[in-house]
Amino acid sequence: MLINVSKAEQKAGMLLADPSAESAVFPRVSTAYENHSERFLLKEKNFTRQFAHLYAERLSTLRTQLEQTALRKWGKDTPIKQLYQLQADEKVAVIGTLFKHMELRPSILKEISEENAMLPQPARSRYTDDKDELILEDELQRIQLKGSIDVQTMVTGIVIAVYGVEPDEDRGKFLVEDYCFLDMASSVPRPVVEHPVYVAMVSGLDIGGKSSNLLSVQMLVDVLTGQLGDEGEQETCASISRLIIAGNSLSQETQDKEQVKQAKYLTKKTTAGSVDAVKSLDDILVQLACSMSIDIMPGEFDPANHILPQQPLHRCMFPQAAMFPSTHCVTNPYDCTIEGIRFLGTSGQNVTDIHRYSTLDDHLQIMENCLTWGHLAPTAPDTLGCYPYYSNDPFIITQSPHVYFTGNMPKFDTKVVKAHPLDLAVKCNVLKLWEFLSSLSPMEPLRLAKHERFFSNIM
Amino acid sequence: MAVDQIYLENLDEFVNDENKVVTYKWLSRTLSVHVNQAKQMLYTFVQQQRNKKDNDKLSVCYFLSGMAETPDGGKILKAMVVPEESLDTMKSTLTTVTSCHVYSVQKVKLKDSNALYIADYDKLKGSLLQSKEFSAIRSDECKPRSLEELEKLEAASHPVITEPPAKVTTMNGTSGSKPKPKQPTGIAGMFSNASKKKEDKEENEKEEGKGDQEQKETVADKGKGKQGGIGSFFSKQQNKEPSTKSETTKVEPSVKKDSADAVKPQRDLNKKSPPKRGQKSKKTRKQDSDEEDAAPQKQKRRRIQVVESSSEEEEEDEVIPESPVPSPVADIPSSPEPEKMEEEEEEEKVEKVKKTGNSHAQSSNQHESSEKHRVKRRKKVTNTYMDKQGFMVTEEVWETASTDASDIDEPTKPAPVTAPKSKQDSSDKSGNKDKKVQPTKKKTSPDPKHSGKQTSLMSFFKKK
Repeated sequence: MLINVSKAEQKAGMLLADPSAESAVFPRVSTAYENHSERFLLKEKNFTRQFAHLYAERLSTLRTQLEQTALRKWGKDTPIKQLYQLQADEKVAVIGTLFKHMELRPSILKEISEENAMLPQPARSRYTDDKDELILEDELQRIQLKGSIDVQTMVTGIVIAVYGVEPDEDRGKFLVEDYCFLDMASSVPRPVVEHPVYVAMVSGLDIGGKSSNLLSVQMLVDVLTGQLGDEGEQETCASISRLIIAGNSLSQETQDKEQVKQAKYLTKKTTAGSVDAVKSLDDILVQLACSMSIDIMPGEFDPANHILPQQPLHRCMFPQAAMFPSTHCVTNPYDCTIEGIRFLGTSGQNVTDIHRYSTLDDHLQIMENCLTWGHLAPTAPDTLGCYPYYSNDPFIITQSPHVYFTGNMPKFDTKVVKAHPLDLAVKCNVLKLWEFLSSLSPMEPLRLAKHERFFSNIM
Repeated sequence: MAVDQIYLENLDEFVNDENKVVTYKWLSRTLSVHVNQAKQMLYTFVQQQRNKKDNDKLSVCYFLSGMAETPDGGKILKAMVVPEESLDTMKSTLTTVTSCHVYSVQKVKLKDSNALYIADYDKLKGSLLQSKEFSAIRSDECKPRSLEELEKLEAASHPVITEPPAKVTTMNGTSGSKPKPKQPTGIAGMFSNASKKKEDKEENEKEEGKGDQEQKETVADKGKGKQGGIGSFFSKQQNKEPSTKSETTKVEPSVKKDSADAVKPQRDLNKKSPPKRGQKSKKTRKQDSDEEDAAPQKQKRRRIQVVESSSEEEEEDEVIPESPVPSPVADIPSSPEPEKMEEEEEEEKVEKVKKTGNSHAQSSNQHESSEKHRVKRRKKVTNTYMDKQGFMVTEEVWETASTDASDIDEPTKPAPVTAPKSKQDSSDKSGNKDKKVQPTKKKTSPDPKHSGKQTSLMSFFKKK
């Protein structure tokens, strides 16, 4: 059921008339909200640890679940062994973390190595190569994987169960016959919502860039706050209860580091590009905050820390918007429940990273894989910056979300994925600046409607 | 209706005479009407101009939105602003139209979208918080936080600071807590320190004028604690002045007059010192509390200042050298004097509190450095303390300053060691002059070695 267009349609054009005595005012619908992102908040920041703990934690947590899945798939009698227990020509299942060995992967050691004296490689968008190999690592050993496993669609950091045999004539390699990942965790049954309620998501506002289209952003704000549009449209917008801004509110250009390279005396009076951009963002946010709840996630180019999980943008940057309790600065990744529907999403860094290190082209496919693998960002900390966790890995998807979204993708797209017959998960890519409305409508309880809204100005 | 005519005339003026780009939002804010009414007004205006007055020079932009088909076969809702000429073509690209209304009216033909954005810009910035008033959607949940809530938020983010003030409140109930009505909101308050300080100082001036006699105020002000961190710091500072003033009146009537003047330089002094101290303390601080505001630093400073009031805490008088940031005005003796008096007051508990809460590296530095300079000597010291009837009593006592740390706990603490020169000279004096001289030289305030009492420039002149 798409957004209630018909109602809006009826009233379209009605404002091409003489002023009426009274104008309708619609109350904004309110929804129950719960934020589950505490695990992404960094309480202590201790960087003296190595990342081995994170991997060990990941493996141990997922091993138990994987064992059950493996037994279910390949029979209850399947022996599950660790690598050091392997014997030749014995069909076993092994559980471990994947490591993808890539030649083209940028390596600082290679760069500074004098032997190679290589010219710097041109910046690539993809580091995959035909010669990439997959290696399975468990707690103690590692072994190379060959066989019916597709190297190109895998990335480092996935916990996998492989079923196969280590051939006697070719020891050190594992011939894979089959493999499996976690079963997608089941999600809590979705409650039925009586009245149509929508959640809007937007990303990539790109404020502060040279090619910024401020009017489009302003139009977005106007539509959401009910100023733009005819009465019917305003009424439908009143049923949007929340806005999630999924990252990159500031443009990449505000991250310009040229000032750092210049001499201090030259740059004494120059302010960072992000200062003005943040002020503009604050102006936009306060207009929105007056009228609806907003969640702002930091993105790749926002003034937040670089590594995942990105901490919430500090409220002192938004002096006006912070006055409203409806402004929420949240972490990236973000996990929350709105009116009983579980939302989980990121600002896109994890998906772009996987895209760079695999041949998966469809971002939606990557997102689906993430859900299958049971991990939000498997490439962290290998190629994606990550905090060295010690006792837990917060990126493991323990409970499947109802809506899984990613911001800053090149294209808007949605897909419905079902893990279990009764479950439902919607994955959505959120485009830059396109607004996306996800309906929590009860009209068709098994379908979440999604739409893209496109703002443009044509002169 | 009369209203209608007026707006038509207004519009006429705006568009035709002033050559403005009138958007529906601009009109809505200017005439304080609902946005939908503004849109309708624009439409009527256009019709009127074209039909009746044959004024076809107007160019109109429409807002159009509707469903459209994407090349992939999906459906999207498009929302766009189109000039009149393209209205029909755009309409045809949409399968269904959900909105169509006038967006703006102007005399000139617009070349790009920025002009439309700029048309609203000023008006928008001026009334950001009222954007919901004229819109079609209202939300009850979205109301700005009140000042108390903001303060609570701030307090929550500065847990370190809340400890000492909490302890202090228990000691003196007669604080006569001044409510601070005019605290600027939250974070903005931090950044508008200057204006806040001025407010507090004005408040305090009035109080001094009343001639407060309560010495307890000094401690009590600490009790205000979090009530506007920085502001309360200054208010306490100022409150010290009247209390000490009252003491000095007994002894030196002439000084009292000076103290009022002294308050001002003192105030300026204090104003300068926290930022200065803030910078210094940043280097030496080991904590990584938020640096976004100087509150923690100022709070620490405040704590340390209270420490001055104890005669035992000679080591922690390091603030004294700092706080009197070299002020060009010759510090009239009475101004540092009151602080000196405070130093010698009892209030052991306060010191203890300060001690426990104080993890400031600088203070510890001061502590150590001052210890190096402590010299054993015997000198005459005036002790001012509160007797059981609540009166301030001053007495002159020969005391021995010692380097032993255990002396800290003794109630009658010898005056702390400060800049050696002034100290030794001051020890020879008696009575009133002592007070003037004892304070360390203000000029040497940045020097951590010369911790101890605050001096003044006058100390140079007094040596004979």
